[in-house]
Amino acid sequence: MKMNPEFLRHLWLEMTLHRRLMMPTVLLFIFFIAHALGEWSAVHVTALLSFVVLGLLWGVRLAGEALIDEIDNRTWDQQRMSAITPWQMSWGKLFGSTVYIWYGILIVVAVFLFSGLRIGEPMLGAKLLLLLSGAVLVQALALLLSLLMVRRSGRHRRSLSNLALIATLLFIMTVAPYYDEYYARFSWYGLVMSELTFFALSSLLFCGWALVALYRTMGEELQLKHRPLLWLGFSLFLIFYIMGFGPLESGDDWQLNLAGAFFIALLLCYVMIFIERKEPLDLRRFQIIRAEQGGYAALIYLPCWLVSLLLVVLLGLLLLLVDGPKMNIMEIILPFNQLVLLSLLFLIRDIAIFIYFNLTKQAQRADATALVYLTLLYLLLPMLFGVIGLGSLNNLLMPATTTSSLVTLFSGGVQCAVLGWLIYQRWVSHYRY
Amino acid sequence: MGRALIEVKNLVFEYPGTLALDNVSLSIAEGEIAALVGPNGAGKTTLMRAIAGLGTPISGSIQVDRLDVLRYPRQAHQRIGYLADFFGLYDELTLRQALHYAALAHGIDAEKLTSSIELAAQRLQLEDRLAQQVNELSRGLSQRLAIAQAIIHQPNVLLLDEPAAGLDPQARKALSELFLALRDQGMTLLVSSHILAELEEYCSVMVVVEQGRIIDQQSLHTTQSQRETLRIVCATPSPTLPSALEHYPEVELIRGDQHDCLVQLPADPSVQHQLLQQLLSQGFSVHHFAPMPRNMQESYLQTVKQYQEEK
Repeated sequence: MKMNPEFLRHLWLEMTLHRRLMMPTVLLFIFFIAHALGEWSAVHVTALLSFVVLGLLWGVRLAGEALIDEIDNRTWDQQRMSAITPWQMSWGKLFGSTVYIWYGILIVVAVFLFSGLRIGEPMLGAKLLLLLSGAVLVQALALLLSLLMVRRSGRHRRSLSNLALIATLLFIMTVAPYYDEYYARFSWYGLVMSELTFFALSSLLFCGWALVALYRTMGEELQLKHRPLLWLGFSLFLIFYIMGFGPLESGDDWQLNLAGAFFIALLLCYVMIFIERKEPLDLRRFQIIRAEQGGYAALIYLPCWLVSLLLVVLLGLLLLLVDGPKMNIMEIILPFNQLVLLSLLFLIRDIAIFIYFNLTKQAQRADATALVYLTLLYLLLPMLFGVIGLGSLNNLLMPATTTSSLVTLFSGGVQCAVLGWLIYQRWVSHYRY
Repeated sequence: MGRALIEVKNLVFEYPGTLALDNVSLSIAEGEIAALVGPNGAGKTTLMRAIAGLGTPISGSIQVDRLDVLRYPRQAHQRIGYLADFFGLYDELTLRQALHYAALAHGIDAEKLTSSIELAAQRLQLEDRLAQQVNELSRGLSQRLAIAQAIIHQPNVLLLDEPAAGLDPQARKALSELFLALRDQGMTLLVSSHILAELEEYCSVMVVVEQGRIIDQQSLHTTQSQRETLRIVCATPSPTLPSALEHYPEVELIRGDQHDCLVQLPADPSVQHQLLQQLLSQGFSVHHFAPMPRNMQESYLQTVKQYQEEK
């Protein structure tokens, strides 16, 4: 079998004799002290904490910086020119950059299992599954995030690994309360299981998605273009997954489910418009490929946020056909279909803000600028209007807080039209030769 | 002239708000060493990266060894070696490890690994340094290692972006010899550089890029049908030499005095021999009769000037 070159290179660099000896020595000291202080139960807790530190915190930092190191050292082009496949590159970088961590984790897992068996810790298998899949998940997300940022702006920031660390801490905070929940039951589409088992399986599932996303994004970076069907698949999966939690009421179940799907797709669209590369020239490439090879071939230049937008519009249209129930949002009753229409309108406005700022020659800070404007529109201005007693003006800025949806509809429409005109002007001045 | 190994047609490449390559077409034949010359920002690096399959143009086509680079970039990488202007190396590896990694990364089979490493090291005269660590290498040796990594899979085409930058004269000379050796071993090279005097030593084709366009592509070979410049010097004053030269139908006098004349005439050796014979028979004391080395810098500047005047 041929060795993954990327993994082998990391092995050469990371697994020196000195380091190979250092890791077990330090860990054995730690476990020995723990045992001296509190027997096997202390060792078990120490093993758990060691796993969190190694796998979730240190591992995330290393995985997040694996690609950034290549760019700093100017070796990334050389790798992109190689015959390493996207999958080889993905797992070679993911497990290669963290190989030393996984070497330590192997020892920690052995101690974790041994001490767990000694003290009769329940559900050891589920716990181990949660820990291992969780570690791979957050490390893969850290690498994916750095890859997305490099693709988005052609630049990189080491501070990104801090962002990945924050995401990891959020993961730990989400999962930690359920770690010892052996008896509390969880119902998902009628499947009843312990919360721990559910989280372990969910972590495994999302770990799979993270690896697939990493593989696909790596492929894009290695010049292999794909149609954004995988993103559509993930969006539908996420909708299906989240809908499984709903304590569904009788009567309006399917309408509520549809509304839930609409808002999940809406959220995914916002996530994607922020993190995805918005390359204005892709529009030109799309037009040329469509003219030369047809529409289906041109789909390789279709951005994922646009796929999400199409999904939102589709779900929104379905909802508009439904005479749904009134929804109670921020204690103001708004007709269901009006809320959908307004959400769609303001989503388009917000996307237009992102696109407008990305249509510059120096678009490095475009997304941050767009975020500032959205903060202004959704937070600061409404607060200001509230303070000076002009709260009704908020109707002009956002959906959901209004009882006068016609005014909001009109305002949203005008904003979209103005932004559309501005985008056209900028396109003409910067991109038409 | 061999078949076209690099074929670029109507290539348009844009960066946000900037047209970097404007309808560029280019053809480099097998076995050539082509010099890509032009000022900073002309589009040389963009063109090289596009040919290497590292950037996505707006439109146009690129073929390397008859393979569509835009459609099959990964396969094309197996036929191309590329050295960027600012390249990096894995400092903590030994040269053997660095070449081993490059060989594996280019998909070389396990049984051919050792021979590939040794061949690449031998080609670049690095075979005595394989145990050395990369961070101990001088700039010139680092450059050689980078080239060894780029050619370890024996590509047909080698793209080099400013390969001589930062090298001392000795290392530059060695690099020139290396390029000629690689050409003799069957590689086709596209080299971008600012140092035209060096390109002259090994390039056979000059491609001039200006403001994202290829304004000229000329062969630096002199064929018999082409004309070349000769310098004719007499040992004793010969006031009638310029007028005598003007009488030969195939000779064009560029400048001259009683001692020293510069003429243009066909590169055909028999024509030149005939002229020399006649001059000697007319009693001119010719003691120097030799073609002038072709000046790439002059040729480049002339091309750019002409382009700007036409614009």
